[in-house]
Amino acid sequence: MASVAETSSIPPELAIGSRPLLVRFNDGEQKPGAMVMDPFDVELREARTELDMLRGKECRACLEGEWLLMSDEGTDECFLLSLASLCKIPLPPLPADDAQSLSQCALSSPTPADCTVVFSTNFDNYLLCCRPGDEGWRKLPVETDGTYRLAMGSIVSSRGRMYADTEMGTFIAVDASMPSSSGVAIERTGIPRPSTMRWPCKSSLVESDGEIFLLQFYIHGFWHSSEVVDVDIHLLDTSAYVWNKVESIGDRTIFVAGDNCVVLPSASRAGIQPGYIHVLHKLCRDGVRLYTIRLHDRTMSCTLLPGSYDNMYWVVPSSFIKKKNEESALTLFSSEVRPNIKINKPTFDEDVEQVAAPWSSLPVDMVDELVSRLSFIDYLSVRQVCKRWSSISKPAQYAKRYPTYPVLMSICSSSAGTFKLFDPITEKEYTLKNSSSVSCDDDFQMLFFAKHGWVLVLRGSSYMYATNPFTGEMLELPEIPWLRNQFDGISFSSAPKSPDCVVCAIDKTRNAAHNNLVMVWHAGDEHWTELEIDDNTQFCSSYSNPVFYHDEFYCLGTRGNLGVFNPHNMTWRVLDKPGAILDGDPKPGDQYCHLLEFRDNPMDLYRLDMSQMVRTKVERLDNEVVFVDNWNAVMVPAPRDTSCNRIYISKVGGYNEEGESNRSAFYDLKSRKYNPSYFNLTERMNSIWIEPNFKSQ
Amino acid sequence: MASAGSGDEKAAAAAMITLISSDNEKFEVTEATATLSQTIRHMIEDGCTDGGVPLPNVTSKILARVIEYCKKHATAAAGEEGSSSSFSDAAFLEVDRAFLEELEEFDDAFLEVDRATLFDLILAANYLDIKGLLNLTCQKVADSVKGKTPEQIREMYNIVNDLTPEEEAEIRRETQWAFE
Repeated sequence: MASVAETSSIPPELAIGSRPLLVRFNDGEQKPGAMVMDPFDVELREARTELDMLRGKECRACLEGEWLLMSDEGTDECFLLSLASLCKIPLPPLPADDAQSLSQCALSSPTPADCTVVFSTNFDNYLLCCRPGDEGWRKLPVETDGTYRLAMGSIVSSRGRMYADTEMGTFIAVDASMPSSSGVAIERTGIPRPSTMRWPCKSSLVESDGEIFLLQFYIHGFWHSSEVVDVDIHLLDTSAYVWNKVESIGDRTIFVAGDNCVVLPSASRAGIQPGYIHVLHKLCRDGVRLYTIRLHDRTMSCTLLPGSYDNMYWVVPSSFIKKKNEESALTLFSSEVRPNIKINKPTFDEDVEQVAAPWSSLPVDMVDELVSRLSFIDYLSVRQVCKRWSSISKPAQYAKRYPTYPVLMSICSSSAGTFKLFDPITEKEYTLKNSSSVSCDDDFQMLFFAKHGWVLVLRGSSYMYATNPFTGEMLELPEIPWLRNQFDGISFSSAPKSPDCVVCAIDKTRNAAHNNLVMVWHAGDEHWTELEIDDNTQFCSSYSNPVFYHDEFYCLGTRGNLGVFNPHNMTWRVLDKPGAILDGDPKPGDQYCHLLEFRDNPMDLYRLDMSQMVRTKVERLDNEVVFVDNWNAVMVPAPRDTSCNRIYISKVGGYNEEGESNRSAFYDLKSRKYNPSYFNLTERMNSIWIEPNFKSQ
Repeated sequence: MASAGSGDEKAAAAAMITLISSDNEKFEVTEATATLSQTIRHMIEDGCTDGGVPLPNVTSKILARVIEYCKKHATAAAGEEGSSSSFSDAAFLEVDRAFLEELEEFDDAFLEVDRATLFDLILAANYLDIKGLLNLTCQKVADSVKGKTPEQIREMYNIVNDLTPEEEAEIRRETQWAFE
């Protein structure tokens, strides 16, 4: 846990500018002042800064990675303070009647003595701006058609122009290039927002080298147990005011804490891993989560920072970048991420004095012996090696001998048709290319549901298709009606190309309107059927996919109750029994339906007896193993003896710098522990468990 | 572990078996070592080991290595039996763990062979029915082909592709992807 240095002198490793640090203000705390923390430090060391200038003041923002905008309600004092140079720049007092509606703040240039400070506001339809030396703040009205009050968020500046995010799904551009605040003028309103895949989504505007990026972080789950699961990035074409999707941020590293973002423009020269986004996610019950997103392979990992506080800011002063030439080893990334020098490179792979051993004549039994230790992917490769090797167990026999189990699938958005499969049992990850099915070149894609080897993919905000990556089959579904991509869960009844397939998405709204929005597609339909079903019960669908069981879709409610949608007579009912949080998949042909409670920690597993409608807690799984991802849970017979009692999660361990992972991550029901421990696991964004199926429809 | 055990053990240790390789070299081993091979165990049980056990499928070079493996693992097996009686003894467990680690190291070092030897070891392990050795060698090969394309496997093991294009297409129909 955090060790606090109580002296006013800050230890050298926490000196501002020595490395990316977090500063936090805790309003409710007895001792005023700010705490400085190195979030990348294993021990999470903290130190208190005893700056008199901060005493009794409220921090409104941290700008350009070093400038604190402080205000004092008692004395009306307002000023900018550089944490790096301790230089203080007075500003006019913030108007008292505006203080409540102030939203975010930005500087028109990174050198505050010569800049305009601009605040966005909530619901008051103006921006507030001033320059150091001004008498007061000036209101800059934002014209609307008068029917609504504009909520504004993130604001950012680039080359004399400022851009503000508004809740109306548009952006505002402001000309702040004039050397006086009276010259500040609204230049453009209504710049359209790029398509947002899903809500909830937290967006941040980021400026670097004159370029404006919009980062959209996708959040999954409930308010306090939610997780960041994906991100997309758009770059603003500042001449045409159009957002273009990008896959990379180049040599930059971006630090995000809510609306306060800092960019290191040339991270590698500063000794920091480039192409990373470090984002704080504060809406957690267990503390503040720090997600590190590696854009080049779309993986991320998460660590937990102590406490539950707001007012946390990244401090990465501009002076930091200038230190790049110093040899001071900035070991931001701990040794576990550093590549280990490859010892023990087996001589095996290198031996050249290869006496032509007749490997092709290896007895078939032995080749079968080999494939029993391999993933089905390798099995399929081995069969293609030579005639004799091809005479090993045929796929049907193989599947009987080694029952298939789900593999973790993720799509690589950067190159078309490339996807990754991680085999949790042999602990090997494969990168495969399938040009005929998953094409990833156009829109952002999300994997939602998988069954019988088929996966449902949302492409952009209004298209969806189903594909079996193992056979290359694909089925385009009709265009999704407007806003109906915001379902809480989706699943299909049988393989999408089968004549009786039904796809069903359910969204039981969380607001006062007691409607259940259902979207259904029956095989052969040209359109989705939309339904709005009155439901005055307390049922709220949880963020998990319905389970198709005995011709009906079972939906898990947030309170653990179940709602059932019948796709044939299109009816919906909420069951009285049972009641606790569940989520799962039935075992085909089984009398029971297995449902899972999946919380951060601990995990509990329940078995639902459908005849009695009672739930019993499952203490152990002697013959089964469960696979859980963000949306689904699947239970299968344990493929190997060792794997029973395990709940595999959609994360992996042993991630190395080559981007390979070689460890499964699971929750052990017996020991009630995650293995390896939950935090610091790596997650390929947007990954899903899929059971291989080689049978074409 | 290799401490003087009961009289029975001593008697077993005293019983020696002669193994004869394909090139007629003779190896004398204890029965405990030899019976790691199920094939030889059955021969002993059937009482047909007098005058040595001819192993026409195993060369002296490979047999020597197989015996090296069996000796080490026979000791391990004996050690396990010895310690199981005093299972609660922490000191014993400690010794056991150290021994298992040593065994693992031995196995790793044992596998540092060229592919031709590995091939012969697999065949020998299969013929002699030595489960542990078969496991070990097969795992080694399995690990080496993980994530490899058919062509890479062929290259690695010097295998000529003798599949006709038609056969190849037929097999490939099972899968619609290629390795990146």
